[in-house]
Amino acid sequence: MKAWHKYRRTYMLAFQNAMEYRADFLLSIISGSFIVIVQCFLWTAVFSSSPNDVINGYTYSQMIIYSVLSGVVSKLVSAGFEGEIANDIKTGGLSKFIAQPINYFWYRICSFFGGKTVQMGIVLLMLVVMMIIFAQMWEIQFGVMRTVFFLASIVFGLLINFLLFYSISALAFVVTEVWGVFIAFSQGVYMLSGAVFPLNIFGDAATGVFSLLPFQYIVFFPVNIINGNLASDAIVSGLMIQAGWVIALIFIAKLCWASGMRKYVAVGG
Amino acid sequence: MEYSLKEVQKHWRMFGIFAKNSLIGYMEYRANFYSSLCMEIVFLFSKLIYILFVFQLGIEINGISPDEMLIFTGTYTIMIAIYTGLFMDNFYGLSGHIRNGTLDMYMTKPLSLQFMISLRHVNFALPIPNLIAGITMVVMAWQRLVIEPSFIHIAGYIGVILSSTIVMYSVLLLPQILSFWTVKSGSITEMLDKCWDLNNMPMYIYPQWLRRMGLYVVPILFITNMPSVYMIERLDTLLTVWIMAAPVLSFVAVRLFWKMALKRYASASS
Repeated sequence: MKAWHKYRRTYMLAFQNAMEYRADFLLSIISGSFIVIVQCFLWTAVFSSSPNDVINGYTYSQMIIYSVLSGVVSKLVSAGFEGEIANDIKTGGLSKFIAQPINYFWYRICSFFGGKTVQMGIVLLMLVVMMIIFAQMWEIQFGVMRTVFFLASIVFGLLINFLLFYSISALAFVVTEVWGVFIAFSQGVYMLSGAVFPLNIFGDAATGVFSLLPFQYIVFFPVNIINGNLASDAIVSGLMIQAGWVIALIFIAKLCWASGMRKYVAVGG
Repeated sequence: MEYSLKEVQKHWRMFGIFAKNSLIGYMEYRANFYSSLCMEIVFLFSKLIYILFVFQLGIEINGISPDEMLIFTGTYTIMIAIYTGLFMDNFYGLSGHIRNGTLDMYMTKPLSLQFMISLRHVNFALPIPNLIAGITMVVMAWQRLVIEPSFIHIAGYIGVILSSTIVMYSVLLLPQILSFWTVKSGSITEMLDKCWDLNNMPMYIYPQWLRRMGLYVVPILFITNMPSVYMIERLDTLLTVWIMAAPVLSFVAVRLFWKMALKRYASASS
């Protein structure tokens, strides 16, 4: 059996699993739409109460598009495997990956992308519908290149989010009951990624701090590409920064796991 | 009547024992306590982003000033504290009791089954940051709006919070009771959680039809908005009557639904 066959099988298994539970993903999109509804009504109220047509660099249409797309993108890139990893570490399920010729990192990444492929398909369909609606409502042209850049940035965003959560999962080597930290981290990433509000509405100082962190490249950056808020050179440099963060986070993840594995005690399994 | 009064006293005493047991549990598993605390602080910050944004904007939104918004956010945070402290863990556990058949054991106890299921655990970790932040925001807003802190005003606010708590108990327990039919309640719980997000902002940002629906049909907006509406003195006669009627009607509805659902219960245990 060729080395990559086992990873292809892992990818396919995750893909089939996600196909089985595609209705669950659709349901989670529907329930996630409540916060988008709140934001749309909030922005409508804000723009109708404000004397300005542009608030923090966003017009009304851009803000509504941002709110809707950030809700969808944040749902697409969400991780959710950290609990499984913690369980593998806690109950000794990790031991079989040490004994067998399969790399845990590649196993996880193939499994993650296998599941996300189905979700990506659903989201792409939704995006096409949304773009048609938005284009009809506000006469906005999305453009082929912008859409391609947007999709590329989503793939990078997925990788960044995967690596962040893979790194934080190594905490389970040190702390047994780590669920609270995972939920807090997940909510922190959700906020700092720009899923709630566009990050630049909090002023220049906060924007400066956010630009030094990887989180804004998960939701804020991809959505601003499609929103037309970024020029071509800003998009290209942003994509390069995303690639840089992916490389840096691979090293961080390797480092966290190397130090965690030194503490690992195989229990059960 | 005497019998009923005795029953109420017994249930009160039992609630005290439940709370004490929960506290002992937290003292035993302190890591869980700190873990929950840390988690809730992050959630609190994500809710505070909204009010931060409103103050940064500095304008009245649909006739509500930033200081009035602070009262809404503060009250919302207090209501989250009440929900997470008294109800959340119990409500989420209901489908598990039905699936695993542990409901049988509770049925044998000489107490109201609904009481046992819905008030068995008290969470001491999650309400702490919310209660502190919520009360601080309300007091701050109160001072900034120069509202005279009379006894009547404070008693009225507490009274409306009590009314909202009963509505919250009823409205949020009702969908969980569907577990008697569906057995699993994952998507119901998630939908409910997200529905609760509608309270992130005052009801005045929503259109009239949504406001009416959220107040009178599925009173999810009632829960956090009514105490604040009372505080900023925007109550009209209809809302005043509704503050008194809604808890009674919603509690009767949830009680009847509970009794109806219980008739369907077929034990899952061996």
